[in-house]
Order: sequence, then C-alpha cells, then structure tokens
Amino acid sequence: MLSENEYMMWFSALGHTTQRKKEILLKLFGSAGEIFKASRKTIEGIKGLSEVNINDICSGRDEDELKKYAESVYSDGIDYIIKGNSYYPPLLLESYDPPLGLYIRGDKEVLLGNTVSMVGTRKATSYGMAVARSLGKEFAENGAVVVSGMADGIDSASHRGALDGGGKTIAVFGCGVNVCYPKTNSVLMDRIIKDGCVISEYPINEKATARYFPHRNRIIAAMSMATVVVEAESKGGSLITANLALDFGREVFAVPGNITSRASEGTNGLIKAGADVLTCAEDVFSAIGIEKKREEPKENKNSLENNEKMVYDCINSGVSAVDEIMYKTGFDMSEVQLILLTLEINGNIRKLPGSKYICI
Amino acid sequence: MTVCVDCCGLNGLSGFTVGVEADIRSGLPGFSIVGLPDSSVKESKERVRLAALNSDIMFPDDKRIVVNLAPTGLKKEGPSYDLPIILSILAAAGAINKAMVSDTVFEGELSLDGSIRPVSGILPMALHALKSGYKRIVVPYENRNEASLAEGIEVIPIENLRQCCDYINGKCHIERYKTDIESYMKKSRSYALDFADVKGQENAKRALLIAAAGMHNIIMSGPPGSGKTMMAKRLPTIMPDMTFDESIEVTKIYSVAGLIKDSQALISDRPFRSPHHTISNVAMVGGGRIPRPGEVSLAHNGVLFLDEFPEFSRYVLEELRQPLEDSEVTISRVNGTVTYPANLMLAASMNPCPCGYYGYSDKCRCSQNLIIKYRNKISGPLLDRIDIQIEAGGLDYKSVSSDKPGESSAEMREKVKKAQLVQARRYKDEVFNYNSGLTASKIEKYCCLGADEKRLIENVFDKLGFSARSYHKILKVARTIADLEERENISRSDIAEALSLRSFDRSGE
Repeated sequence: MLSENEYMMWFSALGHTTQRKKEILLKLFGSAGEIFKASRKTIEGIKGLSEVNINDICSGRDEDELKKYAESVYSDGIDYIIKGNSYYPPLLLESYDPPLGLYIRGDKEVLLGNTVSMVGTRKATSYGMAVARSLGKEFAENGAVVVSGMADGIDSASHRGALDGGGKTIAVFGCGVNVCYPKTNSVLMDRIIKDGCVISEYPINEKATARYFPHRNRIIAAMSMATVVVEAESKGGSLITANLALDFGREVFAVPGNITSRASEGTNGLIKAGADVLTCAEDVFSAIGIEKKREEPKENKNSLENNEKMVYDCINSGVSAVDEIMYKTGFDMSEVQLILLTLEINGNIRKLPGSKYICI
Repeated sequence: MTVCVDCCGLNGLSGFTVGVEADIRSGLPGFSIVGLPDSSVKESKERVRLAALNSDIMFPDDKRIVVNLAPTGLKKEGPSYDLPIILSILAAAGAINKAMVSDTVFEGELSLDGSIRPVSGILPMALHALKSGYKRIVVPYENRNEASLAEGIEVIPIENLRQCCDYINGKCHIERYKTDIESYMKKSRSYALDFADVKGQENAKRALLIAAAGMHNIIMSGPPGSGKTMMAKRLPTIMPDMTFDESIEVTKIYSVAGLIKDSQALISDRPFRSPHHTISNVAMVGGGRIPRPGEVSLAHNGVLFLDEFPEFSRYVLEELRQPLEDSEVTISRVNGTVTYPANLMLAASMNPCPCGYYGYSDKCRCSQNLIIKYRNKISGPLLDRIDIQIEAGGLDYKSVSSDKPGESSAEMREKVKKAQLVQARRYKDEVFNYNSGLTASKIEKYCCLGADEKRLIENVFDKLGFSARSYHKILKVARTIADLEERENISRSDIAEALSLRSFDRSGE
C-alpha cells in the first residue's frame, strides 16, 4: 500500500504543472493520494487547468511504476519527507513556495540545526576560497550548520571548512540526491553525507540542469536566518540567492573584497546597497541565534617554541612566502620548512596555493 | 682483380666494418653499386666519377665497374662511402698502391671538384676502427679534431682526392694529427650564465640544488615571469664537470646527429636541451627511417628542459616515460633496432593554471575544473617519475632590485660535488650512482628513519593529506638533502624540506 509520501514523490515530480497550481490542487483534494486516485473526469472538471496540466497529471499514474520508483529510492538509503514531517526545515516552511517534499541523503537531524547559508562564485580567487574555508570552519566549530550548494569554488570551500571544523553541513542539490554534480566533488559528497546531509526537491537520477539552479537557490536562501555571500561577480546565482534571502526577510552578509577584484564586484555591490559587512564569523552569530563558544585559550599557540613563534608572528603579520620568512627570521631553508611543517601539523597555519601560508 | 678498401658504417652509436671491393673488367661500360646501398650511397656513382675526372685522375669510364659493399646484409647509408668507393676502383685499376690501403679505414664525402667534405659520425667510426685493430683512419680535414679524440689510432686528415692518392702512393707525407684533449676539457666551464644573477627565489634555487645533487627530475610551477626558465638554464652550471668518458659518450651522440663543430670537437659542457613544445615524438625520443638520436639522447648526461610542460602533446610526454625509467631509448624500425643512451635530468616548468596566476594574483579567473583539466595533461605515471615538484613564487620588486648577490653557481657546484661524492661512496656496489636511482627495496636499505622521523611522517600523512604514493619519493629527496649536509642519517628537517618539495601531492581536500 502506498502512502502519501510516495504519492507526493509522484506529484511533486510533475514537470508541466506549476508549483502554485499544485498547491491549489492539494488544497482542493486534501492530499496527493487523492489526486492520484481521482478520475480524469474529476480533474478535467477543475477550473484553471489547461490541457497540458490535465495530461501531465492523468497520463503517468501507474501504481506499479510508482511503487518501483519508491523502492529504488528507499533501497538507496534515501529519505523522503513532506511538509508536516517533523524534520521538514521550519524556516523553509515559512518561505513562499516551499518544496512539496525533500529527498534526503544522510543525517536528517542536521536539518533542524542552526543553519547559516554560504554562497559564492564558482570562479573564486584564492582569497575567496581561503575566507570561505575558514568561515565555514569557524561556523562549524561554534555549532552552526553550513548550508551551501556544493558547486565548485566558494560552495565547496564552505563545505570543506565546515567539515574541517568537525561540524555539520547541508548541501542543497539542483539535481537528484544520488547524482554528483560537479563530478569532481564526489569525495566531498561522501563526506557531506557522512557528516551532514544532501537534500533536493528533484527526483532521484535527475540530471543537473541550468534552470534548476536558481530554483534550488531559493531553498538555500530560505533555509537559514543568515546568508553569507563570500565572493560574487556582478551577475550570477549568488546574487539571486542573496536577493531571495532578502525577500524572505533573512539577513544577508557580504564579505568585502578588493575593489579591483572582479570576483568581489557582486559582494562589494551588496555592501554598497546596504548589506551587512562580514569581517569575522561572530558578525553572523547573533543573526542565527548562537553564541560564540567560550574560547579555550589555544594552548598550542602559547606553547609555541621561540622560533616557531617567530615564524608564526611573521606569517601573522602578512609575510606569507617562504623566501620572505627566511629573510625576516634569518633561518635557513630546512629550518623554516620544519617549523612550517610543525605549525601546519599542529593546525596553526595552512598552506595556500603558491607556497604561501596563512594563520588559522 | 678486386681490392678491398675498409670503412665504417654506423648502427646507432656503434660502428661496423664495411669492406668496399671493386671489380673492373672489359664489357659494356657501366657502373653499379651493390650491397644494400641506400639512395645517398647510390648517388655516389656520379660524385665519384666526376671527382676523379676533375682531379685529373684516371677513371675507367670505358669499363664495366661493380662495387660491392660487404657485409651485404646491412643497410649502408650516408655519403661517407664516397672515398672508399673511389679508392677501391682506383686500386682495382692499379692507379694506387694496394698495399697501402690495408690497416686503414677511409671516410669521406666527395664533392664534384675532388675536395673532401666532412661527414657526421666520425668519432664512433674512429672508435670502432680502433677497437677493430686498424692502425690509421683517413678522415676529412674538417673532422680531424673529432677523429683524434679516439686516442691510439693514427688520424690522417686529407683535404682532397688528389692529396689522398698521393699519400697512398707515397708521393707525399701527411703528418698524423693529434688534438689537445686537455685544452678541450679546460675550455669547459665557459658558461655565460650564473645563479648569482637570480635574485630572490631562494626556495626554488634550493630545490634546483637538491635536484642537481641527487639527479632528481624536477618540475617547477609558477606564474609567468617568476624566473623558472632563467633558473632552469642555469642548472648545468651547478652540475659537476663531465668526466672524459662522459664527454666522449655525449660527443658520440652529437657526432651521429651531425651537431659537432670541429673547433669544439669534444662536448665538455653538460648538454642543455630545451625543445619547443611543438616538438614531434620522433624528434623527442629519436627515430626516423634510419633511427637518429632525439632530444632525450642529446640531453644525455645533461638537462632536458621542457618549458610549458602541459603544452607538449600528450603523446610526446608519455613517450618520455620509458627513457626516464631506463636511462636509454630503444628505437625499433624495419631496418633494425638501435639503442641510444638517455641518462638525463628532466627539468620542466609549467603555470599553475591556464592563465598562469592561480594562487599568485587575484587576476586568476580560472575555474577549478579548468585548473584540474590543465594539470591533468600531465599523467600520473609521468609525474611519478618526477621526484621534486615546487612552486616558484611570484617576484616582487624588492627582491629583484636588491643588491644582495645570490649564491653563485660555483658555490652551489661545490655543494653538489660533495653530495655526489657521498652518494658515489655509498652506492659503490650498486648499479646506480645517485639517489634518484633508488628503488623501493633500496630505499628501505639506505633511507633508515629514526623514531622521531617516522612519527613526523605519520603525522604528515595523517593530517596534511599527502598521497601515499609519494612516500618513497619523499625519502629519496630527504636522503639527498641529508647528503648535501653530509649527514649520515635523515633528520626531521630533511623530511620537512623534502615534503615542501612535493607540492603537487597535496590533495585538494
């Protein structure tokens, strides 16, 4: 016997009927199951439905097919929740046109956490990537759940940051939850499913399509009280997400960048238009309702040996290339490398592309 | 009555003796050459006849002439058979003293006026003649220096056919030519370049020093203008001088390739080859219908520098794998199999991304996908053969304009020499001489780690996302660093530095 969940899988996947019409139909019939079972005549009798809508609804109603599909969903360990389920993200429910149902891979619990969305361009600079990663980490360390889209660039860096910080993260897909897009992120996807979850409103096996992404962005924007735009060009999905977030009455934070950097045109523009400026993770905490964890004095920072401290201070003051560290400190190459390595292993610094280092 | 005049043919770098015999008898006038001559040898008919006539030497034009090149089973190619062919004909015709052509090898190309032109491959021919017990070799005047590098054989330089006949007939005496090998060896180190010109870039310089000390292959990644090419060009200047035997090996290859100038007959400077990235795979590894040495062989005992590494065709790059592994190239063609040595150090340079600025400037707008695609042009197995991978940072004005001179090539060369001496002593019972030759099992033997060092490596693999395949390379490079400091055991700082020389190993995670 099929339940409302499975009927909703069918109903939400109808491609030729708008979300609004679907909502109205649900109100009329009470449930997706009723619509499934309704005769063609009943459906035809409803005002406002076009020929296309009617065919859309009536043509593919095959109970066996649906059963098979639902089984394949469940056998892959994928969950499906509909509005009213206790795991349905409450903030998402508040937005207009929330998805009728969500496919979930991973841990459902994280959907109820304190979420913060992080978005940004795919063509990020190393600055953007570093900022996204360290912000993601700091959010995670303080108990926030990072929501993003697992695209290249800022999205991936944000997820990685959150995972680095030992926290939870949610990736919202513009394709089926069993489809990895972009393919290069398959390792990251596994990590996210392990330490968080992947959600999507699209049926499984659905390929990523350009028109799904702006639609997907509304979920990212709606799911959290605050959206952080790390780097964005003057046009693009990140700004769409930011605008949606404003429409939903969420707070939008933008990370300032160089005015010469094209990848920061969008974020700087947001700041000009009145978005909150984000210069450290704490700026966001009050917006999403968490408190900064009392920082235990970082013992390793104090326990740094003298020469380690010299190198650390060097990097902290903005000297990042190995050559310059050598000149500044007077150590020779192998000493500097050992110190850098020790600091890196202890998690005090991180290596960036181009043999540069930054303090964490 | 036939007479045999000896000369040398070449198969790769090794020579073989060819006996040229001529038969002249009455009959329908004609001239044919048999014994697998290729077209350049066949053409010598015309050269030989006209050269003789233009030198006022009797040529049996009215007779039937057959010249045979023995052994007949081997292909003969090149113009160096001109001289032995004419001499065998003249000997058969009784125009020259038959007794004088024995014990002698003749090489030379004739021009129509009877003068003798230089040929390529003289050194391997002379070495072969020496080994086969010949007393003297008659060579073109312009090949005299090169031929006399084969110590122990009399080198008789001749300028034209007339002179050659007179010499054989005892009408004139030609002094045996000797070259001053010492002066060639001394003439080396004439490098116009020096590492002292390189300002800043300490880590890249240090990496090149380590690479040279252990003969490790190296790849440099950096933005345009960071001095990658400049530094690579200075690599030969920090490598120890070649020994005489090494020089001879290199000279042989250059001789076969026809790249020897008689004024500097002995190649005593380490080769530095930097082919353009449009190079074909045959030009790179050698080949052709008659296999010629390619760039990898021309870089034997020296440096092969491949600028813009990912721009080379995939096919060319993959062909490098075998020579890098075996230190030689085997070329198989219908005409036979030839092996050329290719014991080289590969230095490659590349940009971090298609635009060149990833990680160095906000200018870079390359997507992650594009960057990965660009880097993937270099296959894993090829990268596996490159022990050292570094990032050469961008330069700022401050370090370029600084007055502080960089370390000079001479100082660096001394360090390299010392480190190589340590290795030579350690590997005296092994087939390889340098740390780069260490295989996995030998690494266990020669790169022992203390408890502290082991813990460090474990920590690194645990926390910094190094790929496990790089483990042995890290140890190899650490071994070289320890050798540079003349330290018996690998220390933690050696490992730390070796790790910094494996920058491509960091996974993107």
